[in-house]
Amino acid sequence: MSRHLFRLCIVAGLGASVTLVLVMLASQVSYAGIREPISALGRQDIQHSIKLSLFCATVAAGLALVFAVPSAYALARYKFPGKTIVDALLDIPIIISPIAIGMTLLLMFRTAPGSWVQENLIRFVFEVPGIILAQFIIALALQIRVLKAAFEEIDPRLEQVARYLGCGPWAAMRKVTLPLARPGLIAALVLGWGRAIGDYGATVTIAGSVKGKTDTMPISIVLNWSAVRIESAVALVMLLTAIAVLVLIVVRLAAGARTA
Amino acid sequence: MITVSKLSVAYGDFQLRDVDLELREGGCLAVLGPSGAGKTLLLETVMGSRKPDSGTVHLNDKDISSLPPEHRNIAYIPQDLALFPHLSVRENIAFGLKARNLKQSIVSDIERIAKVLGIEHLLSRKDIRTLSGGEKQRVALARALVVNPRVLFLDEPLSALDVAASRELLHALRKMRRELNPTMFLVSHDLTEVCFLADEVAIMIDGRIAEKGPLQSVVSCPKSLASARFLNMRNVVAVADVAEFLPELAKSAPSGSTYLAVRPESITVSTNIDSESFIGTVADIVTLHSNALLMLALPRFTLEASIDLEQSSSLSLGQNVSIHLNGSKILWLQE
Repeated sequence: MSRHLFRLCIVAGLGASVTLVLVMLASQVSYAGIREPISALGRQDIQHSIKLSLFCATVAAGLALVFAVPSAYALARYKFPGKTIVDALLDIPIIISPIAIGMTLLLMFRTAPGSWVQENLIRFVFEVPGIILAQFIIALALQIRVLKAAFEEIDPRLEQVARYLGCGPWAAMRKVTLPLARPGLIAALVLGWGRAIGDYGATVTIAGSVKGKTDTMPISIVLNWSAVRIESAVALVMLLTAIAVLVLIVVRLAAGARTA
Repeated sequence: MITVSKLSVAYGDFQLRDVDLELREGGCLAVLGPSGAGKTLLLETVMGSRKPDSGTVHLNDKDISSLPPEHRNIAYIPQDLALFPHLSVRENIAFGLKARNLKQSIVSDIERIAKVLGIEHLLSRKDIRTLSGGEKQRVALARALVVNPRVLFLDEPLSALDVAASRELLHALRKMRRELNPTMFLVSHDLTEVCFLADEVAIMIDGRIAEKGPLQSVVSCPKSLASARFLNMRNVVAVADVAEFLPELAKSAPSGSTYLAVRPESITVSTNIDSESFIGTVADIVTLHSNALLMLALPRFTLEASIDLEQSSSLSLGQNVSIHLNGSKILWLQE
């Protein structure tokens, strides 16, 4: 009897969770239908948001991966003083609110070195590079976490043997470590990209919500919702949902390849 | 060929101290010792993975102590073999040739080494995870030997295999040694493995070389107490304890020898007891398949004698017997 009750409670919990998500997804369609949101996707301002989001998230996630690989490798392989603190520091963007990240970046550009960068190198505040920077920070933390786990799974002895067989440290990385970490690299890139494309808080704080300029998809959802253009907001929500589903499938396939 | 001089290296609390070793071209030097003795640390330092705190490693009279491992022209087979799981059998074997830009005769080199090691039939295998333990060992050996290394380093190469597969591979390794004559540096805790492969041996205990020399002399007649204990020699007794019963024997101990060891087969017992006899009491009789082990209790120590089955049947527990030690077979040990 107690075994059946236990099973019933577990299945009921799972069923409730799945139902909640499904109802949430279905309500997108039930509110605005399917035709109007799809036609809204053809509108110029919506297309601008989609293109801007795709561009910024791709650049941010790609750039973050360049920094995440050495950072994660160092955390996975090397012992150094203060490693725990460095590890925790790199996790901060995962824990704190994205708005706080945006706020911190905004404050950073109010300092003397930040102002110098703004005036002499690249303008970040209320500009597209600001979106990329915010998304970069958010993607980087996530990618380091995923890649650290991937590198920790690879036996360091494989790299050692590659060195004895004639590979320098770069060649050992290229021929052994990175191919073995490929599922982790894919997962990190896709998760980072997905997290970046869905970001609202950090992006809106540093880049603002300038229509036709810094309105990424999440920002555009808020703008359209405020302007009571529900079908446009729903269209973008549906698109973000589809992207999320795609990201999760790719990550699961990559995880499957890792455990196979 | 390889000369290790006064090598010291620390790893955490553990320290390898003043290691001196020599390995001649075409020879096989085995560093034999218990787990935790520092064998792998020594191997990694000699191979160039770790920088020594002091001391040098010379290869053909050239100091290679600070040369990175990829420039030493060596090969290494670790305990877990470390075959590359993302590569096929052929790609694993070809790895070193490609890394060293020895691609001219890559196909024939792989096939030649595969033939020597009897793994030609495995070359088409894509997934190395489907190989048996013995097959993996041979592939790892092929990957190491195909680059024609100046020295092949082996770290407990058979530890992952069962007894039958291990014995089969030991014969394959001996055959490979006869045919290719590589210079080998082996670390192991297994005396059988060492006897099969090595011609020189160094016994390492607690980060120091306790004893070294030709295999037969070190294994059969160890000179240090630590070596004798590691080699599981029976009847290791302090000379001071023996002096009470056999004063003449104790006086004949060479200077510095504080312990002696007697093999069980070098002890004879008799039931004829006289006033001059060295007497012990039969504490136990263990019958083995072709002989018997007799445990002889003395006031300060116990001796283990190997006797024939016929004699063992005439003895009983608690019986006093006269013990005779064959003086010429006694090993004198220094602490």
